[in-house]
Amino acid sequence: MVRSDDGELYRKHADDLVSLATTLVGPSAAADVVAAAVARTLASPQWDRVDDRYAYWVRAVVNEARSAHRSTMRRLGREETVARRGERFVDEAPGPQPEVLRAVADLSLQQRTVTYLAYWRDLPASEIAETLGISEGAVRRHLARARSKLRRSLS
Amino acid sequence: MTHSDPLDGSIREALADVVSQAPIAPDFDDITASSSGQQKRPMRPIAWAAAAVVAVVVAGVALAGTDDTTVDTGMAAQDSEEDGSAATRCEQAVLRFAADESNVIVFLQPDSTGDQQDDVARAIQGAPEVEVVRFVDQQATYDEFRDLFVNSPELVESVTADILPPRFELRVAGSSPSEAITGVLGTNPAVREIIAADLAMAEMVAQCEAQTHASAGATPTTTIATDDGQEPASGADPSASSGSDEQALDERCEMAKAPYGPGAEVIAAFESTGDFEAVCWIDGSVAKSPPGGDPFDRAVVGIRSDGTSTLIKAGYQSSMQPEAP
Repeated sequence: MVRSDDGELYRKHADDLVSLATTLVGPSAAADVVAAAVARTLASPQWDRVDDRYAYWVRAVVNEARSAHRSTMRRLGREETVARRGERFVDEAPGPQPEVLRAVADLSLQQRTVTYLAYWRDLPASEIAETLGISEGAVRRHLARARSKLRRSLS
Repeated sequence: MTHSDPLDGSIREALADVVSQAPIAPDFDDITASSSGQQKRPMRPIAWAAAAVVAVVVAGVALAGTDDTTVDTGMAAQDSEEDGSAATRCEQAVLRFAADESNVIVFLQPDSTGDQQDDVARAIQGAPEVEVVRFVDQQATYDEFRDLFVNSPELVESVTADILPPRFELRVAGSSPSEAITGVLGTNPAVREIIAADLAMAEMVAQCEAQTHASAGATPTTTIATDDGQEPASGADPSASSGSDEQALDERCEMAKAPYGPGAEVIAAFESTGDFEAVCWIDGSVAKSPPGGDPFDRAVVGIRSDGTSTLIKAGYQSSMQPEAP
């Protein structure tokens, strides 16, 4: 059941949700992931009882992204291969360098989510835990592992 | 969260690079329109995987405990022989599925007529933002299906080309391509499902790997990255093994959520040992027995090796957080 202010709330957070989805699955599927996740929540019988709708949308986007995760890995790999060959891909579509794509792709879905919320949204661990519905300890573990991987891949 | 390590700056720069590629957010009105007509665009299971399941049920085929029968496997068999990896073999087979430049797949009804398919083609070609990359008929779909499920000969034998849906692979411009093509095709009776190409491929890999595990009578050997922070087994490639196992686990949990209402969602999935092979945390409606007060909204469900599931416990989301068994 759509609430009267859902549209306003969505527009407030839409760019953030799409940025999160882009971090999780890449740009080509990001909009569809967000659209599917939000549509699913709006159709949920629980929706009118959800207090923190932004957090619910974030979790829905992560769930939706889980399905697209593997194919994104494949696509990132293909893009990297093309870039390495020195073909026109990079010149025609300037964007993230292959090593950056690889660094992000090496993170698990949970690690990407936590990294995005911590470094892009600047949320403290307690808020990330509340948003994702997991323990603060789990947030810190995901973040620590993500940093460990990124230290290796970005250095 | 305060960070002072130089690494923090590098991480922010990397995220900025990735986020700079973010597309325009889909419009809320488009989302609500698709939400109200969602039966036209179910996200899962994908059409031909569902058709295969139907075929299995109809044929009464036992999926587990396959013999050593081999079939002509083509490319998939070569990959399997080279590395023995279900994940690699499934990925290789699925890569054939959608042309790289396509981003939306329109599955047609298996029994749609040539005239109906022509109508769909005309509708698609009439939309300036849509380009048809290719059309894949039922026989070609069957060939892909055979490659994908090469390790499940009973499944392959139970399926014929005529029950599999032909499809259009499309390149759709705009920020929300699946929504756009849903608007173009409306309620065309020959259209069975519209889905983003990436999502369809991910679903196929998951189906393929789950079927491979079932046919081998074995469960995945690597642990998955879970919400409690567990990592893949030592020596495993985190980006490969955790993804495949996670997909297979999610699929098992997805199958168990039906009793908890149409809006039920799997929020966490864990491998387990003992009585259950998987433990799923599902948000949905769980009736109390005897009834009284608000129903529970979170369930923990155990899945046995034979696929049967049991409610382990239920409660409220506010007081139950997902944790590994």
